[in-house]
Amino acid sequence: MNKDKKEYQEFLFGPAHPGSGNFSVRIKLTGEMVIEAKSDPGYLHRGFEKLMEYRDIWQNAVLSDRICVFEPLAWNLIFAEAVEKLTDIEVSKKAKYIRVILVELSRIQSHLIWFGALSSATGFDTGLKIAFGYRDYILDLFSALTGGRIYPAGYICPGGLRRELPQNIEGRILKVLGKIEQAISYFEEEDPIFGVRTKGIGILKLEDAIRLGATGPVLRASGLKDDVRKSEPYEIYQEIDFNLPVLKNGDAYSRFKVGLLEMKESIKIIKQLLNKIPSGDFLNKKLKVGTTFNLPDKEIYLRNEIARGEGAVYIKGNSGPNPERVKIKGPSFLHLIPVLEFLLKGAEVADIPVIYWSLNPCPADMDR
Amino acid sequence: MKFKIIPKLFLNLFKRPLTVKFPAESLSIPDGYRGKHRFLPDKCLGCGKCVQVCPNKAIEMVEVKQEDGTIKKQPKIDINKCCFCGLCENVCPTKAIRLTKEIPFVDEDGNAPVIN
Repeated sequence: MNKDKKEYQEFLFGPAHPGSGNFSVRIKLTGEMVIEAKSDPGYLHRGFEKLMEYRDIWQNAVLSDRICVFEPLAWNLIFAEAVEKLTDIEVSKKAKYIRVILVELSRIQSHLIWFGALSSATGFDTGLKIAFGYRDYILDLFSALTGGRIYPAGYICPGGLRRELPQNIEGRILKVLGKIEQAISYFEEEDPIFGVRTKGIGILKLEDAIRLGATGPVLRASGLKDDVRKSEPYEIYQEIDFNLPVLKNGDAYSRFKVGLLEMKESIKIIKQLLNKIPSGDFLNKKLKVGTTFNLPDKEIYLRNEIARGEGAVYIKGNSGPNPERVKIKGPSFLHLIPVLEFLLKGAEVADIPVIYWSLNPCPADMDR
Repeated sequence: MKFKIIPKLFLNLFKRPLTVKFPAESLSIPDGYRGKHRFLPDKCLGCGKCVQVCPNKAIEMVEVKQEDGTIKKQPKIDINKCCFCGLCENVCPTKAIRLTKEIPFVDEDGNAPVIN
């Protein structure tokens, strides 16, 4: 080889690449093989932590939607729970039931996006269309429940919920769950090409997954049975009967399979709760939506299991209506920087999108 | 597995499309949808609670001359800044501001729509 020539090529995957989603990776190649990958985040930074210091609790509940576009309800819940713990607000059993149903529906629609994106990364565009089509049934439900298809505008708020459930919604939810089961049956008809493109690709061994800080489905696909819903139950998860799907291989295909099994578990959870919603207030009687209150001079760190892994919020109050400091910890930060850089090393160019999307990333919750 | 797709293809021939031709027909929008605002100036007290609660500072109080010559303060909503959270609707003591089911609110001239 000529000595003047570089021994490697350098190029960017993203941020304008349709398969990368507002995130970029700097990649060094020799031939078809990646020798080094460096994550380059920051294209979606909106400064939530600073914005929240200038807003009161209700405004922050609305803002907490926007942390992750794919699952606003889950982030609503984390923020609401943190404020409730900080100020000792009680939530009725009814609100807790509805919250869990909504968060599990949100998990299903988030996993559907995941399969859509992963199918598209393997060149299987029909999968993308099926997933996004079926996701729309859930979005219609959200629109009836919260008033917005994607953004619920703080529907899950400190103290309960912003408004009452519409009538006869249980039947509609059951119908939608039937449709989702149909979609899952389509995904289970294994496409041979999809299998070839994902099996044995991007293998993350258990010790690496723990060392690099993977959480959620990525960790469970590597073989560790760990979930905040089981280890530190919040809301009413301790009363619900559900399993944690765990696989051992740790490749892109196992991650896909874990997500598929998790959707089935979510459907099981919702079906258990639907007929048992107790009567009661949807919002704590001492509170009124929009009427602000002071946060005590205390701090709290609270974590939840959202679709992509472990999400957490830290809030510190200072006897005023606005928090003094807010810190948001999204699961995608660790998945997109250490885990992705580790997995891409030694991979082939064609496998970059598959590895990227098999981690179920959301650049929005990472850049914040 | 290869031929499973053929009966499905035939079944799809008899299905209606899920999409509709938008301005002529529209999908049903559920009650409680957070769309364009409806503002009733007669009901408004001018208390300014909506201005305080708005997370995006999309509402400001302006002075409007009434028919009888008096000047009254009332909110002016800038739709461009609005995030349609509906907090103004929640805090309004007289329900002068409501969010409606109306979706298409872009001006034909491309002007910034303002509700006053």
